[in-house]
Amino acid sequence: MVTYEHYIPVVAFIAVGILIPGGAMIMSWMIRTKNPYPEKLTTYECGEEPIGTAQMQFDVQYYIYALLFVVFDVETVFLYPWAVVFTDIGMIAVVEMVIFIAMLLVALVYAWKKGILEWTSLSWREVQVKMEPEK
Amino acid sequence: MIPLVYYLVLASVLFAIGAYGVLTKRNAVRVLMAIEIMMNAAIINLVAFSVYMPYNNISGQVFALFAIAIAAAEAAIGLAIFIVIFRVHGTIDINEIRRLRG
Amino acid sequence: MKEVAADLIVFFILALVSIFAAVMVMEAEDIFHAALFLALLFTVISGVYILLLAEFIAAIQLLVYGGAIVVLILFAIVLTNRAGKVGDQSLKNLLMRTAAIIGFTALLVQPILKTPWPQRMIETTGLNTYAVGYSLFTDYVIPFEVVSLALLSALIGAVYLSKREVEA
Repeated sequence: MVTYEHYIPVVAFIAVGILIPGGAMIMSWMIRTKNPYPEKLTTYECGEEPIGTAQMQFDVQYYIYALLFVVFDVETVFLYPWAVVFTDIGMIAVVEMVIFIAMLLVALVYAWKKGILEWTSLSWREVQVKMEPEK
Repeated sequence: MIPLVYYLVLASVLFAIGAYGVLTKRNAVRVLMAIEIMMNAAIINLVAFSVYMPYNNISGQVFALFAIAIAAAEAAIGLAIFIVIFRVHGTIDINEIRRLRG
Repeated sequence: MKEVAADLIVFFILALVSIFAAVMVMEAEDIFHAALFLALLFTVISGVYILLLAEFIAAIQLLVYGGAIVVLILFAIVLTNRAGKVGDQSLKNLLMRTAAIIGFTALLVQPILKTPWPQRMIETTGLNTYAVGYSLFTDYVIPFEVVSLALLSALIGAVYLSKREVEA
């Protein structure tokens, strides 16, 4: 017979995780006073006046970092079952995993040689220039 | 005990929604999301069959693992292509890209 | 008997939430909201894998789909334009779209319902992760190495595409 008893704590955890923030938001929505005026409705940006909209163009460099994260995330996916079984399979499993990681290291070295990992501050300065209001 | 049919029907509904999105949506990123939904439907089938078939066959789950890894690679390269298209043409609307090809 | 009812209820909740999330991925006006509904869909599907007692695939679903792929899609959305044209929102169009999805689903489901499927789950002993790992590193070594090649080519291709943009 299939049982799910050991998932009861997980369900309880999800329920608490939804109830506490949800309850706090509903409570504050019921209790708080509502007095919006234009100044209050502007985006809070550490006390600074917000410049432009939040839907600005971001630099493509951010995508490269997301990409590297994804590739090594997938590598981790294969490391988990490997860590569980490699004592039973022996050296051959170690060799398999070394080949796998070597392949991904080639990718990392390629990205490194291409200078992708270096954050060019130039483009950030360009963004700042673009964002400065015209006088 | 949940019958196998329930999982298959759930996967079919998700696949139908994904296929509808691939055929009708114009934003390329949303089409990719629809493709991911379809892949998820296929992976649900793989795992469900691996658990329900009369001999204990773990291969379905191993192939689900491969499918997920390949889906990550596919999303990475597909979105990179969309970003380049957007930089060059200023749009990722599929109909307009087709017109630009000339 | 009480337990049987409980897992059916959980399955129906997961199924309804996942179908709702999938529809919202298609129909949300802001594509950013669509990506967040996609994250909800992936999380709920990981719950479906737990019902199937495939804990390892459930964890991987959260890690790769719920984490990595959603992050990639969100980054791609902020890197492209978010303003999309709102399609035809009339009632007739809505009915036609719904009919199209239901019709296609019926087409897919019809052969499924005609086939006699096994009714019971296979009783498994031992750890799911161990079983997957053992099969992966003994029977499926070649596909495993090919996956690393696929990831390598994906990363090189994507870096090459983005790099030209940085230089330009």
